[in-house]
Amino acid sequence: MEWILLFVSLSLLAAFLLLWRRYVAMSGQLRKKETLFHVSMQLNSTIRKKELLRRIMDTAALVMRSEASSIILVDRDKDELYFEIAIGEKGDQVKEIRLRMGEGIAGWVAQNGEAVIVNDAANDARWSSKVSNKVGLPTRNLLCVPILNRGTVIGVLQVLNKRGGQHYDNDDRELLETIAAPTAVALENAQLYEALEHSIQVLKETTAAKERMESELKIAGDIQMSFLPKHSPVYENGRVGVYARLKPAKEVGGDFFNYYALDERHLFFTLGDVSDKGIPAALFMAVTMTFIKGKLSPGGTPAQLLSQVNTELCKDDPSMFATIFCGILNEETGELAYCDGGHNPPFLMRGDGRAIPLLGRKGVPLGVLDTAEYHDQSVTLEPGDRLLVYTDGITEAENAGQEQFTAGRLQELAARLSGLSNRDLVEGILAEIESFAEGYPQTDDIAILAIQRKNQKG
Amino acid sequence: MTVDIIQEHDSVVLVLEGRLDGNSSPDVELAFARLLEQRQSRFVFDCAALQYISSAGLRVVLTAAKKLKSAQGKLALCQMSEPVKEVFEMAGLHTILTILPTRGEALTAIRA
Repeated sequence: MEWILLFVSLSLLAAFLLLWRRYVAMSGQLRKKETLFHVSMQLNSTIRKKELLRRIMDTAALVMRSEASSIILVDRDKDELYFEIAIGEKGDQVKEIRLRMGEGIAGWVAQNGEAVIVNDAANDARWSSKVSNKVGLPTRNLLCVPILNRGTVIGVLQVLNKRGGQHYDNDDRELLETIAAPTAVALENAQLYEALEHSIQVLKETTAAKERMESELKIAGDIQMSFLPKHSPVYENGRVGVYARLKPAKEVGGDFFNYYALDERHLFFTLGDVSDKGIPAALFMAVTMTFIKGKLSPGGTPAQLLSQVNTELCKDDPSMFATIFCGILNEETGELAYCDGGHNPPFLMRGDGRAIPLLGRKGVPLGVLDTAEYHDQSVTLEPGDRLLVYTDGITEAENAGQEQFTAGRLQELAARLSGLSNRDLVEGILAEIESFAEGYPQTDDIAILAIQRKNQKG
Repeated sequence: MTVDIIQEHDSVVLVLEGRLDGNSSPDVELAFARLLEQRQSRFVFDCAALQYISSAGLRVVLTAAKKLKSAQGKLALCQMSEPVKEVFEMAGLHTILTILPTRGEALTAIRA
C-alpha cells in the first residue's frame, strides 16, 4: 500500500515541479511581455529625441533593476560614440562624452554588434574608466547591448550596477535586448523628426529673408519710380515731343531719366544708369537726380551741370558711379547742347530715316573722379529729327544663348522704325527686345527716351 | 572667369580670363582686396584673355583704381581686345585709366 502512496506523492511532486517550472517560465515570459508593453508605451509616448532617450533609460534602469542606464549613440561620420544624456544619481553630469569606436565596453559592443556582460568592470581589459571617472560613479558591473536598426549598430544601451549587489546574467541580457529592439525604430523616427524640424526652421528663415529682400526691392522700385517725371511717359507741346519709358529689372538697377522745361524755349532732359543694384543704387540715383534739379540754372550748360553734380557726389567718396547723358534743347532753333558722362552714345535719327551714333568728347561717369572734366557739345535737330537715348539694359539684353542685342542691332532697328511716332518707335523697340530675349529674364534696368523736334506745319 | 596672379618683382599682374560681369566680379574684387592687404601697390590687369566686360566689371576696375589712388599705388591695363577697349572708351574711362598695348609697357608705366 505504501508503494502506491509513494508513487502518487512522487507523481504529484513531479507534476508540481513541472507546473512550477512552467509557472516560472511563463512568469518570465509574462514579465518579458509586460516589459515590452511598458517599453512600447514609453517609446510611443514621444517623438522628441531627447525625451525619448530619457524615457528609454528610465525604463531600462527600472526593469533591469540597475542603478544607472545610458544610451550611447554612434556618429558614423566621425567613427565615434557619444553620450547624449544619462540618468542615475549622477545623471546630470554625463552630458557630452565621446568615445572612439572600439574604446571601452560601449565601443567594443558598437564595433562588434554583440552584447557584453561585465560583472567585474575593474578587471576587464576592455573597460574604459573614462565615463565613470568623469561622473564619479564607480562602475561595479555592467550589461551592454547593441541597438540595431536594419542590421546596423546605431547605438548601445547600457545598464550599470545591478541593485542588491547582484550579477547580470543571460536572462538580463535577453531582456535588455528585448528593450533595445523597438528602441532602434523609435530613435530613427525621432531623428527623422528632428531633421524635419530643422528643415522647417531653415525654410522659415529663408522665407523671412526672402520677404525682407522682396520688400527691399519694392522700396528700391518705389524710390526709382518716384523720381520719374510726373507726366511720364509723354510730354508734348507744339514744337517738341518726348516719349520715355523705364522698365526696371527684378532687382532694381538704378536707371533714371527726367525732363522738364527750363523756360518757354528750353527743354532739359537727362538719362542715366547707376552701376549698382537694389536700394543702394536707387538711393544714389535719388541723390543724383536731386543734385541735378538743384544745380540746374538758367543759362547753365550741360557740362557745367554735370561738373557741379559730380563734385557734390564725389564729396562722399561713393562706391558707385552713374553714367549719364544730358541735354538742353532750344525748341525754337533746334539747337541741342549736350554732355556725355561715360554713357552709351545716343542715336541721332534724321528725318530721312538714317540713325547715326552721336559721338563727341567723352566725360567719365558721375562719382568716379572729383576732378573729372565735362565737355559741352552741340548739334542741331532739324524739324522731324529725333534723338534716341537709352541705357545698356537694351544693348546688353541677353537671350538664352548668351547672345546680346548690341548697339548695332538697335541702330538698325531704329532706322527701320524711324517713320513711326515717338511712342510707336519706343514701344516697338521694347517689343523687339522682349521677343529677342525669348523669355530669358531681364537682368538690368532698361530706360529709353525719344525726343523729337516736330515738323513745322505749313 | 579665372584670375591668375603673377608676381613680377614689385608688381602684381592679374591675368583675367573669361567674362567679367556681375557674377564673376566678386571673385576679382576678392583677389584684388587680398593683394592690397598684402601691401601690394603696383598692379597690371592683363586683359588678353578677357572676352567680355560689363558695367559691373567696369565698376570693379574703377573701384580698384580708386583704392590704389588713395594708397598711392599704380594701375595699368594691357592687351585689351577691340570690343573690350570700346567698352572702356564708351565709358570715357580711357581718359583716366592707363591702357597700353603690351604687358611690358604696362609694367614700365606703373614703375615710372
